[in-house]
Amino acid sequence: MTRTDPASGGVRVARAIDLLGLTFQMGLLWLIAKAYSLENSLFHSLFALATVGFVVNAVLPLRFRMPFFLVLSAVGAGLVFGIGQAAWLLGLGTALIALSHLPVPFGLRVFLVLSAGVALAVFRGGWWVAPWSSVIWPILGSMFMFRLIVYMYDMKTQAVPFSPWASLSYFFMFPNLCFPLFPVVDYKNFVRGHYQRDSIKTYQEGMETILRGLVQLLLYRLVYQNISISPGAIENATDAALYLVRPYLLYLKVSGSFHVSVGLLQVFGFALPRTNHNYFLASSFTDYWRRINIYWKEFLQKIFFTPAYMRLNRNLGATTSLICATLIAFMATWVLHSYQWYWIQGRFPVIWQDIVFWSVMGAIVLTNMIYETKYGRRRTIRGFKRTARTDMMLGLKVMGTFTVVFLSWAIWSVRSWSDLELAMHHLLRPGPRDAGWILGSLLTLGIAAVVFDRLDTRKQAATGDKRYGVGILRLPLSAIKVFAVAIALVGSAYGSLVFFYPAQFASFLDAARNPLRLNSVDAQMLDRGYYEDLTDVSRLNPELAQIYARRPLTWERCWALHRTGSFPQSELLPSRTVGFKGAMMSTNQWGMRDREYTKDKPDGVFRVAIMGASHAMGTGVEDNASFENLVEDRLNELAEQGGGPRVEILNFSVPGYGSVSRLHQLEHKVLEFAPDAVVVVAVNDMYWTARDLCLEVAGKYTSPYPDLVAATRALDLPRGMDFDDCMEKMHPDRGPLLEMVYDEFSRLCAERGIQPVLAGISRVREEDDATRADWHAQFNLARQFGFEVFDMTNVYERAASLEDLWLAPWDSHPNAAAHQMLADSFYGHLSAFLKAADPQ
Amino acid sequence: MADGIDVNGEVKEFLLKEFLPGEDPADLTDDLELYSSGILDSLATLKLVAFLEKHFNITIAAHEADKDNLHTVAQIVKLVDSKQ
Repeated sequence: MTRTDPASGGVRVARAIDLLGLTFQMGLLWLIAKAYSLENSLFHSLFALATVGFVVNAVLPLRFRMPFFLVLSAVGAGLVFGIGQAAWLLGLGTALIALSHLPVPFGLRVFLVLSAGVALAVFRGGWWVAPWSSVIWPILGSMFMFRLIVYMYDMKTQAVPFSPWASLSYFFMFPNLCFPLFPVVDYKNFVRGHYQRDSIKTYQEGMETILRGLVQLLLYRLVYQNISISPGAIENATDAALYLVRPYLLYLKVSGSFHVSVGLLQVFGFALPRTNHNYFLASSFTDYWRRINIYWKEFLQKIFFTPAYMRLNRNLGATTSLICATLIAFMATWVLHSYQWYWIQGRFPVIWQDIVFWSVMGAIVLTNMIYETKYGRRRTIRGFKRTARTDMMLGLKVMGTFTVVFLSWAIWSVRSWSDLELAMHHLLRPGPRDAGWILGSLLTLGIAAVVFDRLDTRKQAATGDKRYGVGILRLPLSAIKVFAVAIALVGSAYGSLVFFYPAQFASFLDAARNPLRLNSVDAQMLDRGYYEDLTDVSRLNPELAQIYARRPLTWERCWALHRTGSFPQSELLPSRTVGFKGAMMSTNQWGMRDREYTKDKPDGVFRVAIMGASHAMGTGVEDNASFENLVEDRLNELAEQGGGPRVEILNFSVPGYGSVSRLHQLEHKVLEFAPDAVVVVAVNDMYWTARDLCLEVAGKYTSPYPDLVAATRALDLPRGMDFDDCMEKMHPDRGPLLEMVYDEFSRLCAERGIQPVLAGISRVREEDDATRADWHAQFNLARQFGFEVFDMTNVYERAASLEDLWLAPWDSHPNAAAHQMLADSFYGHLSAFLKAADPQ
Repeated sequence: MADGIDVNGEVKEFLLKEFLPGEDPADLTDDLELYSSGILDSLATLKLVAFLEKHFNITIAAHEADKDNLHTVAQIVKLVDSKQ
């Protein structure tokens, strides 16, 4: 162990060669992040900064390295937030640190820090308006929410010396700038670990750790994109197993980012312990707890568990103290989990799944601990003798632990109990093929555990020097691993510029490199604004959360949309001009997102009423750029040249309207305008009808349609039922319910001689087979009830890239270019319709 | 050794009896790393601390019950000696 690096003769040359090799590795790792677009562009910039910083840091004298790390972190903050907001971040943070060092009694300092924390919490919750931007909150929160607790604890116990450089570096460490979910690094470990070991070994360990993290982030993306099953799509035990195991596999995102964070600290000389070590291969719950997020485990142990146990043990005895201390630790985990989300998102979620998950985990760990206390655990000094029996037992234990842990994660992540019941129903009734697949996968895991355990044992047997080589060649073993994997990954990614890969591999690679590619289930959720509750999106879906995180805070806010508190649930306010989703949007005196029209139809005008939801309203495009205005202008230009009747297209569309809302709107508003034709613009009426009806079931409004309510109740969908459960249960009966709506709609039109039209459009994305089946069903039903059908579902097919037609990466509503495509298609259909209606 | 008590011997005896039954006492050297060899973990630490407090009539603070003070038999002896 050396605090200073040897610096003479051949050692200097060897060190220079080592550093060259390490710099090359760092560059390759940065290229992996770039080539696969891992995380975001800020991460790439920080990584580039870290690469340059690594070289400078490594050649600086030791005493300048901690200050340099702090300067680098401050520059990183400027890069991420800009100078102004970075100054706020650093200023607020420094003020908190300064408070904890005031020359007053420790109790008073704690009180002052807590008071400052409460004041910041009030700002975070939005009760007071902060003079700094909200973008710094997640990082400021992430830097101080736990570390300040550890810091003050260590200060009280005088665990390590305190210095301004160390303190500031500890809180502002730059990898935290792009990872709000950051390991709770211990202050004592941070300070003591700084260049306590041979620097080259620590750097090399950092390279391996970063590589491991990047590979895990890549694996996460593959799991995310390729294993996506909605509960309704579960057909057999294999589907159910994939559905249930997916949330646990998605933890790769967190463990990957933790590895990258810790690795980036290691390359600056902080010898920190390894975290999330092969956690899929845990052989017991205690082992799982020891492997997974050990930073969190040690934080809990240090601040809650050990002090509670030791205090209680003096009066209550070992077992009772153990039970109480464990309960305290798991209760703290649950509360701190929500506390963490408060600082990151500004909300304090209280979610039943959290309570169940942490209770289950607490109970399992406690049982395990009591068992160990009573019966002990086998330990040896010289190591265990491995036999086929011990290997087999290890494999079986790993399989069992993995099963229980992934099921616990599934409980934590499901949206409702009924989803879980459905999945368990299928899982517990496997066919021979399913059973073979599931057991085969578990068996593979068991065998992997044995192999890894043997490799670990060998590694432990080897001394550090052997693992890293000696002298000039002291890098090879570890470095070769990093070089080989990094070159393979970077080569594959950039090789596509030079070589023609087989189509399947090329498309696999494209998917792996595309961070914006949502899986099919999430794509639907993004379209439908499913995650209105940001707590849900972060808890259930980090990928969507990442996209949402880039969305302006006011993106969804439409000041022209009024919540009625009755049915339909919303309507547009008249005569408003507001900004909405990046465009100006005007409403006329009648509360339509449209130009001004008289209520009475002018003579000689063919009046068309458009009824739809957000797509048809022209969400996010300027007033004159919506497809119906484009078509109206085009038809009237033609009319001026004597090419047809003058046309008025009145747009009654309101975001969120399904077929039941439209029926109400037809009856109470549209008919007053005496249209000649009513064009219903529907993305998927099967889905949106069910949504309208399930909102009633969930108690969101009182329906004015007793027949529809009776039909819904007849399906055993009582009022007060959960919305998601209702959607799932109603799925097979959506057709007959839509029939009732179309029947009434058609009757109202027929009474007034109005021609109903159904214009079916697609969302701006590749639609799946289920949606296509829904279109087919809705078109058939519409024809059956006298609607003319405009099939516009292929309108975006000629687009080179569907994402180019989105309003923004987080909003797939059609943009102006997409509206032009819609207009072209609608114009063709409507012209033909007008010709048929009025051949003159 | 403090006040005629063989702290080293008694600590080793406890470790062998409680966690390493059947192991050769000669293998339990003063500088054997108890955490990295898997002999001590969080639960075993608490047992050891309870033993030290009761047996040597000392009080160990929660922040002292860690790897810094208990990683080897030598460190444990040092801690006990500092408390007596």
